[in-house]
Parts: sequence; C-alpha cells; structure tokens
Amino acid sequence: MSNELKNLSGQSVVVAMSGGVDSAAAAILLNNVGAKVVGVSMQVWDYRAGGGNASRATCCSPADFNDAREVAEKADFPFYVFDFEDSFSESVINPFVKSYLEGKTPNPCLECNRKVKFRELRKRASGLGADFVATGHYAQVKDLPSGEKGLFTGADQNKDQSYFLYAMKESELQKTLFPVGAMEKPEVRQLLSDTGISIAEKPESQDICFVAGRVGDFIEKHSGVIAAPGPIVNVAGKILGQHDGIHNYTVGQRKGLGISNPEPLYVLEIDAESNCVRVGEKQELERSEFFVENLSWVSESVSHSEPIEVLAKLRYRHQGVRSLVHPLGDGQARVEFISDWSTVSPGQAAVFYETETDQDGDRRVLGGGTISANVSH
Amino acid sequence: MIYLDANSTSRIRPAALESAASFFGNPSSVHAAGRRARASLTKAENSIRSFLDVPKDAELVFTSGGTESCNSLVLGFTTPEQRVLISPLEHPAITEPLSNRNAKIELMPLNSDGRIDVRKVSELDLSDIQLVCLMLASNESGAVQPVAKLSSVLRGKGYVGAIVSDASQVPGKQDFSAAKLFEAGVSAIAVSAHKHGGPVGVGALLIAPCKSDSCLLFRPLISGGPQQNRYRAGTENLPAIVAWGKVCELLEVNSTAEREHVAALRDSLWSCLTDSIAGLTRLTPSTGPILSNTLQILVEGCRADDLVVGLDLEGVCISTGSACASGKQEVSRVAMELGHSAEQASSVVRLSLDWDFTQEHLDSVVEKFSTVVGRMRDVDSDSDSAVPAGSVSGSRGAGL
Repeated sequence: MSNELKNLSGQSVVVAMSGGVDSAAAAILLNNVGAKVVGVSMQVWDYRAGGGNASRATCCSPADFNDAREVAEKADFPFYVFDFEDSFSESVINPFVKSYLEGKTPNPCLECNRKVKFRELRKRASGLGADFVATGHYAQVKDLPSGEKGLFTGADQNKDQSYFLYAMKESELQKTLFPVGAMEKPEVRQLLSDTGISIAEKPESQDICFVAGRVGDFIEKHSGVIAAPGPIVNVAGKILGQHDGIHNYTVGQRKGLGISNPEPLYVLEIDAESNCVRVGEKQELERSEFFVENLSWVSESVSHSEPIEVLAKLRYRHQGVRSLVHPLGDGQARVEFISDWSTVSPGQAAVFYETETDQDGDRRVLGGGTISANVSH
Repeated sequence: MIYLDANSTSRIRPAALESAASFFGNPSSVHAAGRRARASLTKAENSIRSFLDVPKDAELVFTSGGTESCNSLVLGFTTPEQRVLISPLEHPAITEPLSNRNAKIELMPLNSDGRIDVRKVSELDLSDIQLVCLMLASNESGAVQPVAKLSSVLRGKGYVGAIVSDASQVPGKQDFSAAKLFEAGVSAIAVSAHKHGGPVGVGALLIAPCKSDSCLLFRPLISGGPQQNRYRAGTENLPAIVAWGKVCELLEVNSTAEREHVAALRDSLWSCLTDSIAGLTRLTPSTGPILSNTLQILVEGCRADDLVVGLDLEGVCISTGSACASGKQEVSRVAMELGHSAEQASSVVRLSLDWDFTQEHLDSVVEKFSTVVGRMRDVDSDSDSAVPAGSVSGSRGAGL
C-alpha cells in the first residue's frame, strides 16, 4: 500500500468513479483504510441525446454507472451520479471539435482532467465537505525535499497516466489522491477479485469516452461542418491525391492516405486555411524544435526565464526525448531537442519530466503545454 | 435517517404491511380461496371508496400505480393528433403519453402563485379540445389547483370533452372528494397508494358515473381478461390493495388530525429555516390550499443536486422534486413558470414531510440544512482561486 494512504482514516474523500477497474480499486483501497468514501460518477455526455451508442461507449454510460454503483453497494459507501454535461460540453467537447477543425489532434482527456475533474468536481466535493478528491489514475503524489508535493509517474510503467495530469498545480496535489498509483495493474485486478467485485476482469477503456465510432464522424455530426474534400500535396506543392476533410487526418499519420509512392508518405502538416494536407517522407516530419502554448508548471517555484533540461513526452506512451525548454513568456515556450530529432503532432500535449528518476524509479512531472501548429515563434 | 421525501414515496404504515402479509387467492376463482380473495378485495375497495369519497355509481379501477393511472387518464380519452389543454406543471406520466400520441399540447396560463388562471383558461377557444388535464396538486410546490372550479366554469361554457385530474399527491394531505370533483364535471381522476403510506405498485383510476347518453368513451390501456368490468384486464394486485384498504381505514379516522400536525411542523420548519439561513425563497404558496406536508424552497447560491447529496451525507433525505436515476441536473418547472432564471430553478429543493415526521427531526434538519448550505456557499465564494488551498488536513473536514 502506498504511503499516501496512511493516515487517511476518518478523512473524507470523494472518489471519481468511471465504472472501471482502477477507480473502483481506488475507492476500495480508501474504504479499507477507514476513509469516509463518497463515490461519484460524472455524467458528462448523454449518449441517447448525443447520438453515441451507449453499449459501445468506453466509459460513462449508464451500464458503467451501474458497475460503479455495485462497487459502492458492496463496500457500503454512498454513491452519486453528478451531472457535468454542461461544463464538459463547454470545456472539453467544443474545444476538441474546434481544434480538430483547425487541423490539430487534441487530447480531450487533458482538458477533462484540468477543467472538469480537478476543478469543478473538486469544487463540488469541497462544498460537500470533502478533504480530498481521488481518482484511479496511475500516477503518484510524493513529498519533495522542498516540502512541496510532486507529481510522479505511476509505479506500473506500462500503465503510467501522469501524461494526462501535467496541468495540475502543486496546490491541487495537496488535495488529490491516486490510490492505485503505487500498484501494478495485476495487483489492482487481484484486489477487486479478492473483494468479490465482478468488474475485476472488465476490459480497459481505450478510446475517447464520448466518441463511439470514428472521430471524423463525431466532429461532423457535432459541428454540422460537412467534410470538404481538398488536395493532398507534397512539399513541392504537387497534388498527389484528394483528402475527404482535414479533420480525418493527423500529423504523422501514414496509413489511409490512398497514395502510392516508392517511399512511405506521412502527413507533415494540415493547413486548415487552404484545406490542404501536406505529405512527405519520414525525415521531413522530423524537427529539431517545436513550440508549445498554454505552458503549465506543476510547481510554483519553477524558473520562468532560464532554459530547463527535461525529458519531453510528445504523446501518451511516448518514451520521451531529452530536450531544453526555453520559456518565452505569455504561456509559451520553445522546445529544443538535445540529441535526436523527433516528430510532433500539433494539438497534442508535450509533457516535461525530470531527466532522472527518483530512488523508486519514478519520474517527476514538471509541467507541459500544448504543441503549437507554428513551426517558428 | 430523517426522511423528507414523502412526495416521492411515503413510508408504508405498519398496519398496512401486516394486513398484506398473508394474502393468497385470485378474486376471479370460483373456489374457496378465490371467494376469500374476492371478499378481501371487496372489503378493501369499500374502505378505499369511502376514504376517497368515490360515489357508488362511479368506477374505481385498480391499476399498477400513479403512472398507469395517469397514462390511462390521457390515453383513455384521446385519439392521436388531437388538441389537448394541460397545465405546464403536469407530471411526465401525463405529458409523455400525450407526446407519444402526437397530441397538439396547449398550456394553461398560471397566476403568480403558481396556480392556473381559471378566468384566462375559460377565455381560450376550446372548440376542438379533446382533453383538459390539470393536476389537483403540484408534486413540487404542493399548490392545490382549482380543478373543481375550472371544471364547473368549462362545463358552464358548454365544454363537453374530457376533463381529467392527476390527484396522486392529494389524499391524506388535503381534502379530497372524488364525488365533489365529479359533480363539478370532472371525467376521471388518478390516485396512487404509496403517496400516503400505502404500498407501491397500486393505484386507481376513478371514472365519473355515466349520467346521460353522451358519456365519454374510455378506451382501456390494458386488455385481456374480464376483470374490473373490462376497464383494466389482469389479476388484481390483492396484497397491495388490501394493504391500501387498511391505510384508508386508518386515514378515514385520523387523517384530519395527522394533516394538521404535519402542516404545523411544515410551517415551523419553514420559519426555523428562514431564521437560521439567509437567501431562502419559499415557492410553496403561503395563501390558498396547499398540501399539508410540502415545502419547496429556492436556496440562493446552491446547486440543488449538491444540496440533496450534502444533506444525504448528513442523514437527511430530500429531493429536487423529480426522482432521476441518471443524475442529470433537473430544473424546477414550478420555478421556471414563476419566472425565475434557469440558475435559480436549478437551486430548488423540495422537502416533503412524511406522516411520522417529528419535532426532533425538525430540529436536526434545521441544524444540518444550515451546515450544508453554509459549507457550499463558503466554497462558492472562494472558488475563484480554483482550488481551496490549505493544509492537507483541511479546514472543512467535519463534513462527510
């Protein structure tokens, strides 16, 4: 059991429960140490009204709420469904759709964590007198020598979800618990199985929770924007083929371009203004540097002027590249790769970790930002 | 646990439970078990008729509860795509079947106290209106609607279509006489047992006596066997009906005293709450007839769904007015109709006292209500900082 779970007896904790295995385990762990657990599932999307298919949805469907409810009944703690549909729509879905239409590849889980889970849910939890909000993320909160709290990778390196949490602030970590962060996934399943919880073998959720089919279809349906076909061009501007709407493409994508070429072609750039998808060979995709916006540091005490050496993860499950972050002010930074060049997808998050791991082999999250479409500042 | 949600369902009275426990037999069977069942059914029906003041020549049709009774009210007297006139406060058990039948729904105008404006309604063009539907009391605010008056006025103006009323909330909580409503020209009434201490799963449809050749045709919702004069097929739910009969026997004797007791506690609860908490607005009217047990309150600066959860965590059961398993935030229809903003309408809770509510409950509710509202408003006022900073132990630890 993680150190952070000690001394929580009698403390009140709102646990965000998706209906999945990890958040169920988080609730059970807290309940077992004597915390006053309140389970909350977040209703973020109405599958019937929203046109999604609830049975194919990957979380937050009525069936998932029933799974979470069953856990709460079994462990005997109160459980509620909170309505977050309006704020989810405003903070997550609308920006997601807008960003896609601009030719970017946003990650909605980041915004959901930042604006809905760790802001609105926390506020409502505080209103109910909760001391902490807990989730089933594989990440850890540890004490730093400075006395601050630090955000670290989960102990299970295959499951680590710290990438999605980079926008958290130190003050938020003070009030946040990740009870499964110190565990390996098989241990989590075993815990549920031992407790007699039937969802122990429930499959992982993989996709975007509110999209039950192709992302492109969702974007069209939600925005009412009809996909406008346009040209696929090479670096020299030569038309190689037609695309069926820029929101169906992602920078770095290789498959599904429908163009034959001696060397594999990749999407290099998506130009929303000219409705044009630019492709090229792999080496043309690689860059020596890129820019981020909405720069966010976990700790208040990070320098805002000096370059910082980091390990930058450019997408979830990316192994990371050593980089130098040059803060530019106004929430922006230039990120320079130190050794190898790499590919980046505008709209995705670049998450900055400490270059060295701690004594447990866990790596501290320093912060991150959204990868900008601009190639120069 | 202190229960303040009787308008959702009230606690079944112990005598009712006992009387229902040993029941067996199909009232339609010829043999001894069937005859005994028939006799019990008749006895219970007589008790229910007596308490609800249902005339001998009126039909009392047992149903599976308020929803079926309401569905029957609107589906029994309408054909598809007809004009109907209803109040804006009707329960979904009324509005949904009408929508499914593609009815052309027109809404009655309301007065500032949340009751319909009889004069304005009577001035509407009713020429091809097939059905007029007005609930006898609002499940949210508890305001009793002038159903008899409206019916008399409309009949006086020559309206011959159906006039129906959902009275689910009324028996046991206000004067109720089916006979008086029928005399005023009402065609049919829906009632439910579990809103006044009876069991869930049983209710009734009361249909006015047919006094002339121009009787309205009622089309049964459920067809099959010949039970209940073919108004509703299916074996009667005898244990529940017997239990309900027992409740009606008890209420026949002490309903008035119980109502006065509960109403006094409700009024005292309101005055204690306003003494200890600022920013409360009472939506339950303070003049005219209201349900004895209902108090609908707008709590400025608090989300109603969070208040429900906060009070639940303190052991007090209240509701926003509509039980909703999905958790979707509901706004009060009454508050919207009274001209409050959408934000205010989502800050409305309903406290509905049950028959066993006590002064001790009241004192505890006032204290806990005050604590929960205070805590929520505190967080709201410093929420601009996004996160309540502070030590790990937290300053609001007393809550959960």
